[in-house]
Amino acid sequence: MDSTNRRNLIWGLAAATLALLIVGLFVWQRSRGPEAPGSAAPGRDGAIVPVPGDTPTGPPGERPVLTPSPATSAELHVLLGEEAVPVQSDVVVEALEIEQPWVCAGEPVGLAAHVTGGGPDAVQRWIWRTTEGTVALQPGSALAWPTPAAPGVYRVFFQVCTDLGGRRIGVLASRALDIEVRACDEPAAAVRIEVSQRGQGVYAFTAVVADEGAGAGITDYVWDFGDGAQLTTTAPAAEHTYAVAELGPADVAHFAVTVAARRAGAEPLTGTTAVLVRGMPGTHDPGPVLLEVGRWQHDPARNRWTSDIQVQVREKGPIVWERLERFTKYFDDRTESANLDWREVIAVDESLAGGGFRGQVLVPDESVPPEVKQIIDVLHGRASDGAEVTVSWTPFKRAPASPGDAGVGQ
Amino acid sequence: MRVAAFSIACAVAMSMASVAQADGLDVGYGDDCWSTTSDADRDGLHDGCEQELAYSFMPLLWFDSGESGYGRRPHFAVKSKSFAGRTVQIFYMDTFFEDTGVTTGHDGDAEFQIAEVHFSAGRWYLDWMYLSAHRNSVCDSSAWYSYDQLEYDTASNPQNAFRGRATLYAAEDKHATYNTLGTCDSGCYAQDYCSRHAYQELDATTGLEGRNVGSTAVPLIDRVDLNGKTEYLMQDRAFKGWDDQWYRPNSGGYRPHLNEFGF
Repeated sequence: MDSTNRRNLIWGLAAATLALLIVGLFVWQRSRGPEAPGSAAPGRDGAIVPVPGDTPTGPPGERPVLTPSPATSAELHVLLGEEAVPVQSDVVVEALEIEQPWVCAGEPVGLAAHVTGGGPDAVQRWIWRTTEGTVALQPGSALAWPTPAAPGVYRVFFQVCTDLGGRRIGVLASRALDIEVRACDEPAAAVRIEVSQRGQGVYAFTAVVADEGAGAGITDYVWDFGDGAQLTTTAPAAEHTYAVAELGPADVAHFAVTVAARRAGAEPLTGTTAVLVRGMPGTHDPGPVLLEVGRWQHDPARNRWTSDIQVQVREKGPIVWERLERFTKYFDDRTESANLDWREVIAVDESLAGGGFRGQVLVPDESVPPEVKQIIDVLHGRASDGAEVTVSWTPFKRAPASPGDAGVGQ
Repeated sequence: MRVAAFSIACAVAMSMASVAQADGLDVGYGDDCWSTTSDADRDGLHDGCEQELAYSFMPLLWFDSGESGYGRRPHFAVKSKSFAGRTVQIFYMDTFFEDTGVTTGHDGDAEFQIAEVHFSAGRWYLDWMYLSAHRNSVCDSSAWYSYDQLEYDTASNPQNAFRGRATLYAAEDKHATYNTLGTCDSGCYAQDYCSRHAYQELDATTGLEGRNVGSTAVPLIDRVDLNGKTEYLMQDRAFKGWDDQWYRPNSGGYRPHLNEFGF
């Protein structure tokens, strides 16, 4: 890293820290659940009783007038047609996080709650009074709150609840947050991050700079994926895989992703986004080998397509690879197959333990005329216990013939 | 949106900016869906509401031009996740008759999707979808997708909306489902192939009418006869797609998946 880049990085980190400090994004609080079981709110007669935790979180100072009418969580429970019962628990709302002390009308604002305690039956939710007079509800710890069009101060509640049967719910913890909404005409974020999920925990990110002029001098992009991983790219795109296996089957984790587009002699442009990652039940058996295959690339000098490949033997090694079966699929639905010497199809760069290897899969240009839709390779081998082992992949695929069918590309 | 600081809250807002346009679906039921009247599977949800939710959020599928296995007889199950969160899950059993993939062919194809939806202020909103894609195989590409990572066709169906019925992509012949063409393109070591060739509702014939299997605890439908063949959807046995050719294997059944996801 040269001195300019180092200076820009330091500036970026300092700016980020300063922003956090000045704007006071984190509003730390500790909110224990109701201490007195039975002080229901509302009671069966519909009387509204304050619920601990209704004291709003927000900037210090004079309490503003709420829009629409002032609301307590108890009032919202009534409007939701539910009977809320405070329940003693170990649940603690450690923090409610909001983007900034006030937000622009009509722009969604992100809210996130940090909670400790609670069992598998604990339900996290946000509730708030809408300008139409109804009560909106969103489950989960994160919320993109649909900021009203009219300026004012609005109150949003975060609650951790549990079902008690029928329309009764137990409130394990509750916390209010007042959000000031102002009419404003502020510029958009310097960098917008587009997110595209590509599978379980796999995300592709693209940084889009709002001001093309400001983006002209960008030297590189420093990505922080929110899970401790960072990456620097010269192109405005990055991909990251989150450790989904560490999540329980019912867990949802959210990560803040930031990018700093560094510019020579100028402040970096920054942007942020979030991804939600959810665990799932089941145990995935990857089989005796671990396969990694890269995207195919054309090698015009040698008139062929190549894909990086790595086969690692996990168990049952050594595995002796015997043949490679190559299927060629055509757009007219024909399929041809051929048994090939696997070492003629795969150029091995390095042999790995147990019969594993690292190299490139080769597809000659003459094997993929325009009418070919896809190649599928199946590598057959024999494990030490005599069992057949197969791994398969695609080393070439062509986009759909119809121009309107975009999305699959070579 | 103004220049953002590095906070999760801000990030959530930016990633879900489209929530401002969210309008979900009106299915004719509200949180009266939680009811013990007319509750044949005794799961605390009104049967009529289960039917309406399953129909309303039933996914749309894009198939590739090379698809040779459209045949299916979908069913569904619904369960309450919580009343406090006004959330239910809908398990869509695709029940394709066969997988005609070059290297994977088998009778029966037990791919599935789970839609997690919640009720708020008069409408139901899709929060998450689990899309099976060769689940528990060596190239398992299944995933949970939050609502902002799914596509919604509101152009050809004005009744649909953002956070309503999702549009999915079914891999050619193998029926693994994905949120986008790009995700499909990389699925199963890039072997899956999707395109926008043919567009169908998951159940284009009956709209899932009368296809509620109940739950593993209280099955409403188990045995299903079709074309002189029988399948037992709720039992832990192979799913043969109402077929049983000697030259190819059968698919695993739905019961393990139902168990794992608590249906």
